[in-house]
Amino acid sequence: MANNNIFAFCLSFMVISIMFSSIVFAGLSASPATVDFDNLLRGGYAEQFFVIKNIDVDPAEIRIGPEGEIAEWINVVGENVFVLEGNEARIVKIAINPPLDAANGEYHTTIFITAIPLNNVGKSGVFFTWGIDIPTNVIVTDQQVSNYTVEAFTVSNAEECKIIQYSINVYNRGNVRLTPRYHATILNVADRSVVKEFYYTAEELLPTQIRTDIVRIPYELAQFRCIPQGEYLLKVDAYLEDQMIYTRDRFFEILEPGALTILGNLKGIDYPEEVELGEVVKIDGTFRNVGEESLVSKLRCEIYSEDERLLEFVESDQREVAVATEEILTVFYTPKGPGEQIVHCVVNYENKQTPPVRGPLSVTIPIMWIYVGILLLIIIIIIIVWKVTKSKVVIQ
Amino acid sequence: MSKYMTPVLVLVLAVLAITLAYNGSVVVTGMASSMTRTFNATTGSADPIVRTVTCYDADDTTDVDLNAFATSTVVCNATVYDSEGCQDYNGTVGGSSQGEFYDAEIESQPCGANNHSDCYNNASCEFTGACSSLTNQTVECSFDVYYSANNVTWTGWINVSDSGSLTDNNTDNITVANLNALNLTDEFIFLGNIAPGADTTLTNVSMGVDNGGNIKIDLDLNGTTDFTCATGPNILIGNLVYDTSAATAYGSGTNLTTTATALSTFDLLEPQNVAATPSTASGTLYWGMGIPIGTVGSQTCDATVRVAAIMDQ
Repeated sequence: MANNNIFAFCLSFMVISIMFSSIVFAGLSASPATVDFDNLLRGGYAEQFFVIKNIDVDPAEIRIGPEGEIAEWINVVGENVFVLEGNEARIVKIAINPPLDAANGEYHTTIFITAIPLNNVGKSGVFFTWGIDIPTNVIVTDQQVSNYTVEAFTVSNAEECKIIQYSINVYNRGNVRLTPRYHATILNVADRSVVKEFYYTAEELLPTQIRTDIVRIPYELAQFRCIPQGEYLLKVDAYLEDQMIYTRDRFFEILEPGALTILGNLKGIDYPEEVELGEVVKIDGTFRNVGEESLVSKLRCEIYSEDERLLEFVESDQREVAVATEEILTVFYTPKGPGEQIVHCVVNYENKQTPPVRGPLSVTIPIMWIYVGILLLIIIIIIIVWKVTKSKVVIQ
Repeated sequence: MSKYMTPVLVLVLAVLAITLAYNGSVVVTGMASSMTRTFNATTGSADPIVRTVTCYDADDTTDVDLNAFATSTVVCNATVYDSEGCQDYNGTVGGSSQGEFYDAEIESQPCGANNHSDCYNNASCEFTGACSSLTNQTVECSFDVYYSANNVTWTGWINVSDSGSLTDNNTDNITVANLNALNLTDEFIFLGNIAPGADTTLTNVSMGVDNGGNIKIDLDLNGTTDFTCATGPNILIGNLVYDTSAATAYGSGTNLTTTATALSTFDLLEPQNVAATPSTASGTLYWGMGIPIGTVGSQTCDATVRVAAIMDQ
């Protein structure tokens, strides 16, 4: 009877088990956190970039999709389902196209970005996915807005008789396509006289599009001459139709041929800042080739005393460094005496030299030597005392 | 002769002992070269000039894109000019460069010590590239900016001084973009063994939620599917409830639905860095489960729940 009761109890106590699992790190990020499309024309266009990152250590499938009243206006340009490895980021572009018959007004939707872990296959229970939801606000209007801004402008140094190049980063803040035009003027720094002018019409820029235009200015002057070496000022005016909307100038230089194609940088030196007398100091210099040709390079380090007297110089073997690569050049130095010293290193390459990198070096006496010194002192004292004692005995 | 040997020996030993025991201040030269290099401090009247400063981050976009739960490297560079030559300011003869990157709405230059919040500084910016025309060289200052940096305009400031202590500085502004970042401490939760007709009594199974961005966030919650049970019938997702308090009775918790619903009271603030130590902004979600009467026992049921961060509603 008792066994039957137990059986009945078990039978009536039905258990639903919900599986459990371990605590894990599961994350996702997106930037920006919200999107606003203002002054969007019916039948118009706008775009927005997001940086999406899987901040989990494991890979995850990412799904992107808008939901809401105007979800069909929004498209992900490219893949809207993809895998991101752990700590991997991707830039995603979305585009919005309101239909021609959309009514003017304000609209709201949400772009859902979801991360689905890949390692849950085969498991059972309640599991979570995580996401970032981007509120998206849209204003549809009939009013055309024509406007762009210059976000950044840089000019690069050039070698004599080579193209002069500047880059200009523009952002179409309106709701219609437009065509930026640039007027560049090269001025002599000394007297601000005009050396050369160059007009450039960029390609059409879509609404909300951000783009970097690279403009190449020919280096020739009249009578087949090149713009000579020296320092110049590049002034760029940006136009929207006939209206100048931006003007800025930047200094740049025309350098000797090879100045930029042959260029390296000593990024730093690495060595122990405190050593004992007798140790060999290994100094590693990190040299990067930032030019356009491979470089034969050699690290040279000079060691100075604290009062700026040259103690020694050491040089590495020659090493060829390929374009856009870094190499470690190594020298070895053995201090000859204790004290505070200064390490001063440069890299010599192709008849050029990098700016120096300096650092302190402290050379100390090994502790064992101090003990030996004290022991010798004690022995000396003993000898002196013995001598004095012996002399007194003789006198007596 | 022997009577002089002892004093001489004593004298030599004494000198040796004193030399070895005295550490640190004696410099022994005796090198192959006795050439002296003199570092002249040039006291020219010309100031260094810091030309246009440009600030950017790793992906070189118009804004600074932060990294969740980590730092982003912001670089500000400028061309420096001095008619006295590059050596006068790039450290060869003298000179140095320093930089600051600060929240322009809270701070101004000097913004003080590096607090990992609204003020970053670089006491030793790097001179890169070659010295061109003997006068121009690029200086580069980098800053590791935490993910909690405010979504406002920031200013990058570069100062250069020469061997004569003459200085110049210049600035650039750049916007830090807003970042929404979420971390869950669990991919699964264990709700316990629950009999048909029973529930967990309280919403007391917790799950941590961390904010790794620079905005205040709420949560969007929804069940992707109902509970799919091996034997059946399925259990509606609405039997799973949640709350922000562990002491909430099961019946008072919010029922999950298949439509994303905002938990607008979650209000998880972005991290605040205090005393240069990044803080953690964490919240907790509590879950409870009820099993309808008539459900078949001794089976497992599967369901998926989505938890998403949304800008504060």
